[in-house]
Amino acid sequence: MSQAKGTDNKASEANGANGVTESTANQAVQQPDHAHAPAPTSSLKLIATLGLIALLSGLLVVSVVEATRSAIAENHRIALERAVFEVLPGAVNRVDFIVSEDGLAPVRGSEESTTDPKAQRIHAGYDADGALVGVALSGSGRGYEDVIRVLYGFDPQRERIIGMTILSSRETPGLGDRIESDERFLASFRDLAAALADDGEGLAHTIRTVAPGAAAAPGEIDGITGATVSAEAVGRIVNHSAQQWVPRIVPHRDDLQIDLEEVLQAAPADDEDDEDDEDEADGGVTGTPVIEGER
Amino acid sequence: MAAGQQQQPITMDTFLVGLWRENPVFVMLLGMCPVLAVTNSVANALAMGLATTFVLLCSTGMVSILRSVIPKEVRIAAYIVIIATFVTVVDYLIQAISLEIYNALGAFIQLIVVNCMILGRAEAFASRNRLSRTMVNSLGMGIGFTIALLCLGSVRELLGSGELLGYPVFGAAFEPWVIMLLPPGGFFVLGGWLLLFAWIKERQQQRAVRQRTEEAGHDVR
Repeated sequence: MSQAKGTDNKASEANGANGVTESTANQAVQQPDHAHAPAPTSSLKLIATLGLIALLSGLLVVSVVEATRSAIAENHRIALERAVFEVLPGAVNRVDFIVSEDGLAPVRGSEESTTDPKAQRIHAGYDADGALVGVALSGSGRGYEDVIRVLYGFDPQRERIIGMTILSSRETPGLGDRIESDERFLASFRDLAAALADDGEGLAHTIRTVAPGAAAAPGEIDGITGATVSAEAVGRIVNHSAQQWVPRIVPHRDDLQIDLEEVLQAAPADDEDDEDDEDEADGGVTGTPVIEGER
Repeated sequence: MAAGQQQQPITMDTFLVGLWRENPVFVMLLGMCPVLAVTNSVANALAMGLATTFVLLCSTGMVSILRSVIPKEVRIAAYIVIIATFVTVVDYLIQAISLEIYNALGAFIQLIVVNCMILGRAEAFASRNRLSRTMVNSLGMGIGFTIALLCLGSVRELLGSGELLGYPVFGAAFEPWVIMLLPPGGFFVLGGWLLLFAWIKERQQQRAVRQRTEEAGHDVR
């Protein structure tokens, strides 16, 4: 190998034009043992070159990450926003709530930094008259190919699921990805029983996907022919998530009946929320209570 | 040899070679992984083609600038670091431009790093040519790659979902060939295009041979 390189270097030396630095550097090393294989470039130079390239690369990557951070956060926020209004039909305003042991508390801008990291956030949607439409909850789990993340709307008064959308999935195009578009499958989620069990632990009925057209009992979803695994995965994900969320939300559902005007006024100006949206990358959380009229 | 090439002027051929004679997909069959994986729609194919072209241009440009500084022993490592840097840049830029495209392309943006077409260009061309010549050649290669992706993407989207760029083309009666969107469809369509190009090439050659023999016949007479 080094033999070959030696001749290579010689060739470029002979031709003169290419790699001036390199050939002059090598010339000095090569001169003494002309007959034998010439010494390779010194390790120090190799390390220095690679180190320099890596350093420049690092600098470039860091500056691009910094430059695009706010735009990416904004994209995630818009995507979540759209999804929240999609699963809460009729909602025009959104307020985030913190779920804790003592109940639900609306997020006001100033509380942003002081919140307990373990506290989880849900997004409540209100219609034009200020009446509660429902809360948007998220869940995720294994699909056929990769993790599927879903967002679904839950109406705590009627204890029913009122809408579902897929936030991200990599299901097979044309087959599994019909969980995002199959009309009958999605329609099952527009009015799906998710009542709290009498003992207050979990749901009264398990939510599960059954054969297409066979949904009859409460909590049953119409499956999709050709997308059995994906459709069942979505049922399982929603069930798993609802089993945990519903017992925490339904007992405190009165906390969601807030005076919308007051909370919205307490919200700070919207323009500062680019800064504090870091945790959005893993899916689901946004900054200040967002007041968005248009969809 | 390196010195000889350095004197070579930039000709139209420097640019066109990537589009036709050395087309990275249809002639050299390089970088097949993204070619088959993301070409299930025109939009994905276009996004992947542009992302790859960007990475190709930036990294071969950089390799060309640094070609006299990089020692031969570590050149591959250096090329890969450079390519990986620009892939990361493109990854963030696409996230900032559109999350939908980002989700559709999935892991294949990161996998541009191992697209052997880019490493091949860096090694075979950029490391031996001056910046301007390298850029012209890389642009041609990038466009050739994008066109090839579009060739596959349009056929697969048309047959697989009856749409083109998301707009329905056939009536409601059209039953989509789902297989075209799945990996086997990628191989079928690629095979079809390769067959077409091989046939065109063969015809060109035959015509050239026939012309030559006819001319020769004239001379004899």
